[in-house]
Amino acid sequence: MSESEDLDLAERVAERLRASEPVDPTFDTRLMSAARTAAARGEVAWYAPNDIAARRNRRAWLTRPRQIGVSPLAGLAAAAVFAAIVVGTTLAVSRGRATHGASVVAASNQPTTEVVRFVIVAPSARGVSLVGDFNGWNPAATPLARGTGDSTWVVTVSLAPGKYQYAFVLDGQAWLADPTAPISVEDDLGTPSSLLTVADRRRL
Amino acid sequence: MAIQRTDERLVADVLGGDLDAFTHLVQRYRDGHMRFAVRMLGNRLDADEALQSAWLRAFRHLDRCADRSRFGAWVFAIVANECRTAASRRARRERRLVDDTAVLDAEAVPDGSDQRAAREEIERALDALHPEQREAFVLKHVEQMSYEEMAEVTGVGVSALKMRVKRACERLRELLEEVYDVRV
Repeated sequence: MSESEDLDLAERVAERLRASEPVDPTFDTRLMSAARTAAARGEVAWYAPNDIAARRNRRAWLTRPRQIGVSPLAGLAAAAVFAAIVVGTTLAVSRGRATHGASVVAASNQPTTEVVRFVIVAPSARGVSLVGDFNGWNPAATPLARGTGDSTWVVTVSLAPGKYQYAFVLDGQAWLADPTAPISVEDDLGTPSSLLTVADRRRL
Repeated sequence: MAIQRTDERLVADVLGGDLDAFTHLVQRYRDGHMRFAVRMLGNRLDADEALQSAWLRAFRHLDRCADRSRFGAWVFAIVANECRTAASRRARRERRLVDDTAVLDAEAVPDGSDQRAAREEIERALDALHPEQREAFVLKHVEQMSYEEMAEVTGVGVSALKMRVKRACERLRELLEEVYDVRV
């Protein structure tokens, strides 16, 4: 049989299969009930009602016009705190090895978290950010800084023990799984991602 | 008159805490998904279960939808994957081989005398296809997607998809010829 005859048959077969199929009237209710239950149980990483409310309040607070007065003494104190934060961060970064991937570089000051350093070699990238279920997959939340040399990009993040999915975003567009980490099996979500397990040192 | 929100807007609203907005997304796509799922799984019960599971996954991972304006393609990929998983799970569970024999043993249907029975035969033939061929055939000829859209949904290359559709057409002809004398 010729290809055109097969296509003709395919069209005649498909025509009969294009009829719609009724959806159960309770479909939406059942689905939304399951979705709300999952959200309420904390099983939906991006859904945190308090965070959402806090973000809204923060946005409202940030955009509200106001006048700020700073005394010279308070200004000096604020500058000192800012400098301490910068120095602390630099030390945390420099402790780790300049390798590709994610590695725990130090125990955080908070007893239940670890400082994890993410490194990727991307010489031609103009900007790199880290996305994962720890930051709501928001490409603007965790930008990487250029490491030593021009090709590596680095960022450190404090994470509580647990399993995480993450990826790198190059130039705000290309999503890239970490080439040195296991790939997440949920590859139908459209963007590749990697798996990271942060161990609980107290249980080791 | 209410202005219809775009997919992009609805996704943003859901992620901003308005869970009701998710219902609008569901209502926008579920009818098409149901047809696809029934064609893939052969019955409404399994299709309903697969769609519930797929949409719940979409909800849980909504923040992974990188291009919100392409939400429709993103969620269809999840539905297709869920149907694939459900089909293989069902095959393992039932250990029932729906093969050529089942189709050929079926009672022949007189031409044009019973539209419903004819459609059942077509569905049986569709069910006898290899799942990959069935998926490719349904996406191409029933859902009428382009090969590029199919590649986006399945993650399979265009040339491989073309081959699957071609094989599916050949196989359908073989199956239906013997039952119908090709009077579909």
